[in-house]
Parts: sequence; C-alpha cells; structure tokens
Amino acid sequence: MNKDDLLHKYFLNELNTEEKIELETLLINDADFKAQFDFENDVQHAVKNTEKSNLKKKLLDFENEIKNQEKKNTFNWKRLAMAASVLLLIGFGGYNYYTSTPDYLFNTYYQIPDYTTAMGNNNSCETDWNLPKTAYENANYQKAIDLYNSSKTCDNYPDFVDYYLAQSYLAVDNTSQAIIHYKKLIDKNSTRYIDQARWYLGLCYLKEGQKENALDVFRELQVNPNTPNYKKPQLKKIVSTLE
Amino acid sequence: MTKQSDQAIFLELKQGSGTAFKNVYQSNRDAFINYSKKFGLDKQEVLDVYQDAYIAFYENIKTGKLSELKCSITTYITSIGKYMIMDRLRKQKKMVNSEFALEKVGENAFEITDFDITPNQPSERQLQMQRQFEKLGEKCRQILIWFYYNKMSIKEIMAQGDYNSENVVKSQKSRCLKGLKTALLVK
Repeated sequence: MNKDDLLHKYFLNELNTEEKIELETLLINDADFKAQFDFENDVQHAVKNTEKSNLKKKLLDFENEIKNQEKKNTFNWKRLAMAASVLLLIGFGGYNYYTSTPDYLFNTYYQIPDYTTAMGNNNSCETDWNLPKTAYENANYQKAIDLYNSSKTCDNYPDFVDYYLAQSYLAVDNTSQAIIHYKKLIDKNSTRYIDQARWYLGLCYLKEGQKENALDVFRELQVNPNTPNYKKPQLKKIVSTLE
Repeated sequence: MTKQSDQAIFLELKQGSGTAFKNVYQSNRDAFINYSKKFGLDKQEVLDVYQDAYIAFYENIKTGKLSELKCSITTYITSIGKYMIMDRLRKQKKMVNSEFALEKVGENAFEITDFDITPNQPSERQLQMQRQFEKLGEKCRQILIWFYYNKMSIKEIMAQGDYNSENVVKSQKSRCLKGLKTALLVK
C-alpha cells in the first residue's frame, strides 16, 4: 500500500492486521516514513490539546455562570443579613442569624450516604435488588428511584428499599417524596434505619424551611436514639442552634 | 439499559449541539459533587475531575469511540470520574479505601479501558506544535481538526467543507501540514 494511504488509515484507526504489520516494519526500516509518522502524531496531539483546552474554557464559562447565580443568591442573603443587622440592634447576632438559617444548616450537615447494606436473604419480593443498588452506587439516583419503584413487587419488601429510595429522592431534590419514605421507616420502627431516617427527615425539614418540625425530629433522636450516641455531637450543635 | 431521552441527548451531543453540551454538564454536576464527597477531595479538585471526566466522555462520542450508549449518560460520566479520582489519589499516594477500590467501575456494560481518558503530558515539541497550530488560518485548522480529532474521512470532509473533490481535500490537508512543518523549522 502507498505510504501516504497507510498513514492516512492509521490516523483514522482503520488499519487491518496486515496493514499494521506493514506500518510497524516501515517504522523500523524507513527513517523518512518514521519522521513523517512522528510529525503527524505530534500534529494530532496539538489538535487534540487545542480542542481539549477549548472545551475546558467552555466548562469554565459554565462554572462562572453558576458562580454568578450563586452570587445573586448570596445577594439575597446580604439583604437578609441587612435585616438581621437590624435585629442585631434589638438583641440578635447577625452571624448567629445566618448560621441558624435552615439552608445553611442543611448544607452544613447533609451528605449523601454510601450504599452499605448487605442484602443477605432479606428478599421477600424475590427481586434482584442489585440493579437499583448499582445505580445508587453510580450516583444515578433517578435511575435508582425508577428501579426501586419498579422492583417493589410485594408489600413486605425490605427496609433498605425505603431508605435508599428516600436518599435517592433527596439527592434529586424531590424532598416531599423523600419525607414520605423516611416517615415510613419511622412508622415501621425499623431497627436498622430508624436513627438514620430521623436524621435525614430532620434535614429534609430544614431543606423545606420547616425549622420547628426539624427541631422536633432532632430532639426525639437526641433523647431516644436506637443506637446510643448516634450523631451525638452533631445533634447537640444543631439542636442548640435551632433553639 | 438507557432511557429514550438519554439516546436523544447522545445523538445531540454527537451532532455537536452546544445546548446539549451545556445541559448534560449542568444536570450531572451536583450529583457528581455529592457523590465525590466520600473521597475527601476539596470542591475545586472535584470540579476539575468532573470537567475532565465530562470532556473525556464527550471526546469519545465525537471521535466515534463511543458509538452507542450501553448504559445511562450519568453512569458513563460518574464511572470515568471515579476512575480519574482513583488515579489522582494513587498519584498523590493517598490511601485508597479498599471499599472504594473494590467497587466496580460502571455497570460492566462498558470497559473503562476502552476510553481515552488519561492525558499524556505533552513533550516540548508537541507544545511548540500546538502554538504553531493555533496560528494557522481558519481553513487549515478546521481541516486538521476534522481529520485528526473528529476522525472524519476525506469524503466526509469534502461534504462538510464544501470541497470539489477528494483530491482537493487531500492537497489542502497536505499544504496545511507543510505549512506547520515550515513554521516549526523557522521557529
């Protein structure tokens, strides 16, 4: 095959086995061919790097847009902080006001948990719970929701289903659905998940701006945890802040 | 298993839609940041990995290495990102929690090693080449991008660039390469 065509096919990833051998032989025996091959390889690198830099610039622009949006939100906080400074005059601390806002508390304490449940024989629906589990582990929360919901083929499905469903709903900002599933675990008095359900239910209420409900749930967890000392330091802080 | 909407977005990305490029970036960003919290990287580092993972995913679509979706877009991006995080942690000689290390990357629907994801450090010669490439005229830059980056055949370039024949494309490409070579020699 003509040397130019060989190089051409190489850069389009179209060489067959025979042509690959031909190319390798030429690279060893033909210095001019090797020089041209190296040159075009460098061109390919240059083009790829330039295109990559262009894409990176675009993504940085997207990030700037997101930051600007966040600044706008901060602006609202500034206005609230101004209102808070008025309150300061009548006895409240502006800083305390800001750090006790439900949004601030939610962002400080919320972290989506890893999948840690051993599924064992607790499989009353005879369903393959590995599919939603994998989706959850891969942070594909909407898919996890779809799969958990479609896999609940009987009423007495295991508790972890409600737990990871709730977590997935919270991760995709569907707080009201998350609340329903955390409450189910609490109503069922789920030994394995009741503490976690209360903790995240409280966080859901914070996300929804429902301070009083959040405080009730956190207090209950603080006073009556299923696992002794569950989130003890965090609860102490969050309850005293909300109070 | 992929949703119909993922397939539609995949096609839009393949066709170079700027809107799809932005939407996919934005819609997977927060979930990725949240997911990466467990690895203990700071937010800026996580964002950096997310961007690299997203670019790798996008480039593999554009170059045809990823020709069809075998799982959801989110799974691809997260799996590539997770691989990159592990790579970073190893390079920083940080302990990689065995639990994380044992986690499967992806859903076995695709092999992470099939992707071009680990960028090589460019040599001095390649950096010089990149500077010269950026100085080329628009027509030359475009034809070289189509060929070396988008892996478009001469026929496809002919159609896309409105050239009269395949020979015209070949000679144009050849002239552009010569121009680059000369610029490097002069430098």
